[in-house]
Amino acid sequence: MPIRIITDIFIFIAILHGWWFVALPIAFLSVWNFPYFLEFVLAGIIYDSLFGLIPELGILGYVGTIISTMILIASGLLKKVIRD
Amino acid sequence: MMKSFEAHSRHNGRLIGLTISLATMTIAAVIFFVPRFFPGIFLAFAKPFWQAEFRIESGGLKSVGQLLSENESLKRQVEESNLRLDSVKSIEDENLALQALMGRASTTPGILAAVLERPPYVPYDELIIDIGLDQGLSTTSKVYVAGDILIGRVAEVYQAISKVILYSSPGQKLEVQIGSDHVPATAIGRGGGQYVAELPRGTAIAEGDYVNTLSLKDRSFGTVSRILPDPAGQFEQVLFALPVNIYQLRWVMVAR
Repeated sequence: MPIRIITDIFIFIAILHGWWFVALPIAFLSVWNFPYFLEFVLAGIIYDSLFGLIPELGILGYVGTIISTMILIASGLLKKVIRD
Repeated sequence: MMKSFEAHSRHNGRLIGLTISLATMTIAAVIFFVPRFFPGIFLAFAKPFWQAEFRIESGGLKSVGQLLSENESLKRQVEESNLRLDSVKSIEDENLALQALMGRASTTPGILAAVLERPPYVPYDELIIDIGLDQGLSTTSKVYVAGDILIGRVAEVYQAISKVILYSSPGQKLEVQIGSDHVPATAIGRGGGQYVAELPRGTAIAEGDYVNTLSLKDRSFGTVSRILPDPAGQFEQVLFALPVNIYQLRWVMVAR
């Protein structure tokens, strides 16, 4: 549990600075290691809130939320397949 | 015993799935119907961290000796630049006098804003500045550097923070004029402070030509860096960039 909290703190600090290239690999590994890693989607929402969600950007303004949700769903399905 | 455990586990799984689905739909509804709700909260939370980082970058943690030495070096650079700019200043003054004579002198007040976050860490050629509704900004406010080089406009305004979208952001368009013949063109953002404009082949422009916006008040927008002819087509691509490095911007001027 402490590792998950430390991971969350690292991801949050990276997102705060816009370091998506740091947050994304950490989150990607965490999705596999921790069950129901919804912090990934929250990180995507925070990233879009801070740096996106501008009408001129269109769909690009939601890329954090979209990618984090897609990766979370895909990893969940893959984990289920591997377990079965 | 095993069967009841499996049934319990399946029930728990469905419950968690349902909770996640409901939470997702709620968040999506909030983003759709109240799009400024989450940005307002998270930007207000992030601003103190960004301001602290800005102060540190401005030399808040440097020793007195380092700051004095840096100060002296910067003073020397400023003196050298001032000497070179004297001749440019006289031409600018003449230009302003002529504009005033024609009733076109600028009366738009500008507000200095600190750039809290900038590319490449902020995607989409976007800046985050430390002023907002509290300074009278709106989504029609234009953003300049070095006083009068137009670089973008305010896209989203919050209470004490704003998001600026640069005209070099991919897909953004701006009407410009190129060269001494003032050839009209549409500058399309490519990202990274770079622009491209498409002009008919044979247009009288060359590398090094100035690119200007349509406003008399604004200074040169950039200079043509390359012209890429399309042998098979009727057009050529003109590439140009801002005269400032957007990755090092620390201050901008916002015209209300």
